[in-house]
Amino acid sequence: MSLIKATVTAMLASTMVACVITTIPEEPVASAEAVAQPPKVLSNRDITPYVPIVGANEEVVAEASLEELRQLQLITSNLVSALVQIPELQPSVVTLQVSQAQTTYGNTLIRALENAGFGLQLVSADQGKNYVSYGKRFSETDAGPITDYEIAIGQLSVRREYITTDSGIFPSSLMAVSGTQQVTDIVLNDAIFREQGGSGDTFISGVQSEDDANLRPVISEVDVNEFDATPQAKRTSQTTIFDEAKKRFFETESQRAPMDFSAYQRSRRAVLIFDNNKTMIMGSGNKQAVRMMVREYLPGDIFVVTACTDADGQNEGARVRGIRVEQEFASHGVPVDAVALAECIRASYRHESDNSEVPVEVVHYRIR
Amino acid sequence: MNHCFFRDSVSSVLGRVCVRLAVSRNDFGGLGYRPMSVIKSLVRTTRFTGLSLLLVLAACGTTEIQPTIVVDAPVTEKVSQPLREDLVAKDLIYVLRQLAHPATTTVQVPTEQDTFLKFLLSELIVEGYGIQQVQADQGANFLQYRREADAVGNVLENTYTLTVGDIELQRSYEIRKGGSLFPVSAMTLAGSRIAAKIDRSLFKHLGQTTVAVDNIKYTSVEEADDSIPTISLITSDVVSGVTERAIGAPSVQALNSGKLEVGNLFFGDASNFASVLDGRERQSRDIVPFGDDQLRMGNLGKRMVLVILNEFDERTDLISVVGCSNGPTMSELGNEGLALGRAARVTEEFMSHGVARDRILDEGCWAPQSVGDRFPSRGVVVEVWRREAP
Repeated sequence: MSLIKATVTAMLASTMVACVITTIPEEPVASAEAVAQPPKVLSNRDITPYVPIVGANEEVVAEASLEELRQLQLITSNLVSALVQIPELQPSVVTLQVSQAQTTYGNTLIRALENAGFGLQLVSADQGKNYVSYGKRFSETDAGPITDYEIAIGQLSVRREYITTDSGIFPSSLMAVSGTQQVTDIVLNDAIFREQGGSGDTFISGVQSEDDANLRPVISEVDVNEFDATPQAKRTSQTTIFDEAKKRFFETESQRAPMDFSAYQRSRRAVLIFDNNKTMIMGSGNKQAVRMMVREYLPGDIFVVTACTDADGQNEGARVRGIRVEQEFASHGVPVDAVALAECIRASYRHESDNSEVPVEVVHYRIR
Repeated sequence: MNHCFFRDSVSSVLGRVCVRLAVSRNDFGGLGYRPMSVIKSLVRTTRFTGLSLLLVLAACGTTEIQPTIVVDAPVTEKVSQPLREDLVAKDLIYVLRQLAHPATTTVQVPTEQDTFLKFLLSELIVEGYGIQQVQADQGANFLQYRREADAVGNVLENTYTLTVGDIELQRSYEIRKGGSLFPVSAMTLAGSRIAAKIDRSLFKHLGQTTVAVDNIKYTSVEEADDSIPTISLITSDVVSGVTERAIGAPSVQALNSGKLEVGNLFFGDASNFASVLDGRERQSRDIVPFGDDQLRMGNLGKRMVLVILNEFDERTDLISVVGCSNGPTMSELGNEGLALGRAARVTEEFMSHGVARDRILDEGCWAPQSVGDRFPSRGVVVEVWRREAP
């Protein structure tokens, strides 16, 4: 039976069925023993990829089956990759508050948030404006059992239903997002579910707003075939999924509002030098320069980062370096939309093998 | 990776000497480092006497030291038991939490973590800091640490340096039997002026520490100046100033101590940092006098810095420093060099008492003629600006 059929049926039935709700239990106070200890050997397998550094509960993870852990990792990758594309939740600037994990889902979720680059703060109750609450609901529907996973951070939430088949776990609904205006900019990488393989099944992919019923979602179908099955070691890593999502976000942001510099004047300029064309390490000197430039930032100002000067106009490494500099500004509290990544200026030719120092120019613009 | 830098305390004796160090990234927790601390440690580690240091540096002339100097292998490799570095982590984080409040601070840590970093991380989490794992050196509060080994006779010592953003903490510990570590130096704190104290109970079970060890010494974070890129000033004033410069008038802009290009205040009253000072109220205005054609502060100037610091609150205040040289000069540095050199000297003095560089705004006023009452002829105007209450 096609997954898409199951999805539609489930969507209709979901409001009528009785649900078994797993609530988040009371959180204990954080203790030194409970955090950041080297993983204990609680089972014969390596549970490190599923155990977070902040708020881990290793015993719970150790008791879970490997299959469950992998599926939860896939689900959390899916949900968190949507979160990182929400402007209000930029990982480089946002610190989330989490409680000690009590469930396997909690552990894998916190780990995913760590891998996404969020700052995480362990709290004893539900302190903080970015407190992360999450839930998992199991529903018995006429279309079969469906599990619904949700993450809520302040006013924002993402939620999606998933269905388990012989091949693995697949989405059975659109991703429902609420609390942000930028729902349409979220692009899901649902192809990651394909890597589990399947037998000609189809599932739906897309994002819908829970706040605005008039916002028409872009829905697509994803086919899963036997030949899509990818060996575990070759599947897309969680970090890669998040990196791509974050990259997409920065690209969308820079395209969203092309800047009109006629109202601005150039105020300062610095050329940051990276040691080579592979490194993402800025070094203390460059970081100091960013700190000094941020010091003079006023609301309304813009920093323009030019990382690419390649004659062919395309340089993935340069773009990533530019984003790295954007993130550094963001980490000092400069709004993401106040830092723009300039298009390639096509000034020089650099051979692929050239590993010498590379410049990134930053110009500070101020309203006239 | 090679770094070349200057150190004034050395240069005051030996002239400016450029020292090239080649140090493994691994000695610095894998990511970046502060070369000045390395040479401090190097001098201590290799137990240079003043003479031997003089000989080594003098042999290098004014270019660079050619031999590659490698810091000793960590003592951890020489002792059989694992080191009790958990207490060191507690010791350092105890002080850090007094400087950067955990509830409002997120610390960036490398994704690859060794044992000591895990201890630090554990302490940070327990204290309630936000933790953000990063793949490079992202973030305003990026954490790095360095462990350096030393041997004094039969006594082995490890010196730990913890850097979190602007703040740097350093302390030496003797390695005792069983791998326990016992503090043998005061805690050195750079990048903050906040009065902090040490947790004296931490090492009580290992013995009694002396009063000299149980305190905090304030110092400055020293950076490799050549790694800081120049931040140029681009304004229409600067562009039009080119004409004036061509006809022999004072230069229009130059680099301050932070390699930030600043305009000459001779040409106007508005500070280069007017936007930064906007919304702040001036608390005090003092003039630190300098001798004719001199860059030396002298005791009077140093005392004035201490007086100013007594009223300085780093949570709300910024220090504006305007170095001046107005009038004829015989100095080879010229008015520009004297003005910005004096500003740099005063900035350095503030930093040596723990003030972070980004709390100081240094600029200059220079001309071969007097500017009347606006600025002193040879002195530095120091103002403290406080953020207005919201």
